[in-house]
Amino acid sequence: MKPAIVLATLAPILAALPAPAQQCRPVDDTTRAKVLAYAQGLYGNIAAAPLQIANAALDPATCIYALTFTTSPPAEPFRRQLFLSPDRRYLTTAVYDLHAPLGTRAAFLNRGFDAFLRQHHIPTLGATDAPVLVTVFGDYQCARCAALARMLRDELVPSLNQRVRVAFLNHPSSRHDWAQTAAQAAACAATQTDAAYWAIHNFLIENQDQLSAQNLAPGLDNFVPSIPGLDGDALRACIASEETKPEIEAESNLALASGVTARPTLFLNGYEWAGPATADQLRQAIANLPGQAKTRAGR
Amino acid sequence: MLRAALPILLLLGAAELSHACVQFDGAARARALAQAREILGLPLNTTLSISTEAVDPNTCWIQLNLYASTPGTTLRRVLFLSPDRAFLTSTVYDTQASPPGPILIVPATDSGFLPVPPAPRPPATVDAALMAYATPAEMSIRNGSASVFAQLAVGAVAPGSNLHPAAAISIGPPVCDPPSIRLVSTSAYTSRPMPVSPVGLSHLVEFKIRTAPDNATPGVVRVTVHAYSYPPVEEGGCLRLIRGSERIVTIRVRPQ
Repeated sequence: MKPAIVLATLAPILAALPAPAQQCRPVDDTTRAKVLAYAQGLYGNIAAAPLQIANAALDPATCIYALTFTTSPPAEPFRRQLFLSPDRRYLTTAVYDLHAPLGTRAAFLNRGFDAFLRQHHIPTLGATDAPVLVTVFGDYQCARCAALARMLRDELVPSLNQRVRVAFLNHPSSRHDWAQTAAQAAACAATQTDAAYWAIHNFLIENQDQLSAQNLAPGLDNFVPSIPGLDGDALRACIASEETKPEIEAESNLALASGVTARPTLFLNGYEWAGPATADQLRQAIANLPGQAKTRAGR
Repeated sequence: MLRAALPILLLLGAAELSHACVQFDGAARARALAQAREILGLPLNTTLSISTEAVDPNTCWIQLNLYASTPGTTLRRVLFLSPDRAFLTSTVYDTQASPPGPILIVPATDSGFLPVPPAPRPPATVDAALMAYATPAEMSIRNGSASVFAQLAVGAVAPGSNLHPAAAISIGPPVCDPPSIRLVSTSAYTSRPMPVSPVGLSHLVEFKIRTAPDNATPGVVRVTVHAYSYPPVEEGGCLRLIRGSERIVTIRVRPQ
């Protein structure tokens, strides 16, 4: 009988029976010795002592074993994890379940961004409870960053009303000679009021092509008196003392940890968008995000 | 009785199935691509396709040569699909093969279905270094639970070349002081290679910590993070040995 026919004949019967517990093939002594010898061959040149299987954790749903190989003290610590296939023949360095839920990385990143914004009191544009968080990594000396910031402020946020919240985080390039100082100045303003932060932010992106390392400080000095409620002396002292430098470093580190390789890079609820974007493209991408009803996001 | 007979019937079927690999059909292909996009952390506006694929007729593993294209950049990666079509992985070792080393069904840039054994090359040692970024020095526990993010980066550079093997981290068992503090879980997400020196991968790691709800004692959780590296399969499947490093990440916990 052909296998397909056997299975087809049995399918209704199988469906009617309670699902039996999955019987995973055990790792017997022979398999254990074979796997250990194989790992020894793989890692023997770098492990300072014979390997042992320190831990073998079975996932009953897949019958995959996670094996942890280590050396014993006093040898230099060595630790590797490999996964043993259900048929106990293959070792792999990772197991990515084809049926795992999608979007976990984006959700994870977005939770990280949201937590960072709250922990560091970063002002955001748009509704604070908006369902879509747009996180932008850039620097104030990058022309495409300024163009993107203007588009987000003037087109995307107004068109999506309460649906979107935008955060600008700094990832200053070492090739830009005033981006770091500008970022620190904006962060200094944020320690006073959100409005002061946005005033400095807008000043920097609107006047980017006029600014330089030489005229940034006098330019800010001329502009600051026009910002209601901003203590200019306190701002100058904050900039001079570089007290917000660690803040900008934390933002840069978040960019690195999130895999940012270019400026600007933006994330829509944790999903990265690479390269230039128009408002229409972003509206479409937002409408297609998981959990975003197209009719609502697009209006 | 029927249940007792089932394994025999299935075994009879399996005997005939032994040389027939599970199909990699349209639905499975779509799922594999969606998961590959997730695994590789590709941007929304990146197109991802399977440029070539090859089935090893003896083992039924499928090598997927993936091609991703974003405005201005392209990316090639290799993933392997298990014989049961249930999971993807980046490197496969066949314990029946000798000498030990990752299998490669076809070169990543070629097409075809003939198994090509990896070219034997002398092993090289690759250093992996771990740099901690912005690990929070202290965290507050509210109502007995907290979650904290640490940003870690791993770098690895192959000696004598500008090729950089993939680098990764594993997180060892935590040491909690006092023991009433528990590290419930850690989640690590690997990002794309960074153009920093040394070239490496970045990881965002979330630590979830619990204490008794009325905990009033500050404490410390120490977690050993190991860095290790392995070669990309594109390098020809040769075995490059790895030297890892480790760093202890300390998280101070204080009740709020």
